[in-house]
Amino acid sequence: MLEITNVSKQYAGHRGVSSVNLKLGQGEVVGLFGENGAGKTTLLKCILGYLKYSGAIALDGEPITGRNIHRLSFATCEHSFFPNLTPAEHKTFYEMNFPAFREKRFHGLMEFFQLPENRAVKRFSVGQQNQFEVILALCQGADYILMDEPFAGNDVFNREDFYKVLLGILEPTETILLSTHLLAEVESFIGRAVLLHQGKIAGDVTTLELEESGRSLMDYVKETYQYEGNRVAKALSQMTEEE
Amino acid sequence: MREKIMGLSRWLDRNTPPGFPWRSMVKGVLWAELISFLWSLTFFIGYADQYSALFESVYMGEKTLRQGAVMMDFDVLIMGRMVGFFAVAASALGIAASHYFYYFQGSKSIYLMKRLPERSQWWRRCLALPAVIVVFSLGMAFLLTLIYFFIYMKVTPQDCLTANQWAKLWSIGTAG
Repeated sequence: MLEITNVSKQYAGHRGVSSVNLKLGQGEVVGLFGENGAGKTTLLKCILGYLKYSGAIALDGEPITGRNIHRLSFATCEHSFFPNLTPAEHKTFYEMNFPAFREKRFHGLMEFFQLPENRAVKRFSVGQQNQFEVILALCQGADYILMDEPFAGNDVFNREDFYKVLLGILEPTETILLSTHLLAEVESFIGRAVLLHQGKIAGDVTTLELEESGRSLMDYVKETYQYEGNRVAKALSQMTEEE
Repeated sequence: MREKIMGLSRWLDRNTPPGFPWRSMVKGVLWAELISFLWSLTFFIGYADQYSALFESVYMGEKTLRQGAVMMDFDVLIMGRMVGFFAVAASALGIAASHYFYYFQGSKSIYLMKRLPERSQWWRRCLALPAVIVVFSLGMAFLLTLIYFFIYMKVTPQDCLTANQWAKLWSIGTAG
């Protein structure tokens, strides 16, 4: 269980996240949604210990330290691989540092996405780099896989392939926390949606609950954010009236 | 020898940022060390001048020690001859900085380094090579100073040496 208790992070001059409480159980696939600047990336970076925060984050009751950090992996659109290394060299590095590295999964995913194992990652296209970033996060052998807009720059076919493969390979002990804007795309892939709004948890719902209430994820998001459906029409009419 | 080079290469792979082009950097440092060594040899140019001034020609190229001739002190002769090694040692700071910023080039591999179970690996890979360069450069400066001092003491006629050469040598070390 990954337990986030009353976590707050303020940057100089602007809000990061404020009093966030969240529990992620083993095997959950959770979508983290929110407008730009809602605090999604900040929350992920707090979990990973990249940012100092107030509050507590615990992994099975233990604070996250060098002893259990290997249980978390991270795929980010900023990329965290070494551009000069080849995938084969990354594999060696990961095996050296993460004893639970999933070699079989690594080769399977590399083959599926037809990524060359002996070319420096800096020579990959952005789409390939994104794929490789996610492959590393999935193969580290972590129990909690955090992803921050991992498919930014990939085409829709690529992304769909990835969701399908992900659903196929994930083990019941693996938890995914996926931050993305692509609501509709991930709706069928996630089991739970957490909504952040202005740094606070604005909604937390399972897809089962949504199904039972006959609402889509998009409906739920609009409802939670009190989205005005006629906002565009209003703005357009105001603009045309002015003319 | 080949095995030693392979061992060194493996050590550098493990102690510099992954994928860092350490070969060109090490090559550059070795050249700088060589140039520093060659520059240190200019000590002997100054020494030879001072040494020959101790003598005067008497007959058919024969030389005899000048009456009351005094050799210039070693600490004065050695001044500035080891500056190359100090410069290389100082450049290790820049190398450490380039290692640190490497984790932000082309990606944020710093995120991965901060997530490693062995957290000290990040700093180890930043600082190990610069530390070796500092120790090697200062060690070379120290060793060569001692060798040159030994030669100075052995070759210079005892009558021409001023007192307290050891103390003066020590004062170079303590003065930096």
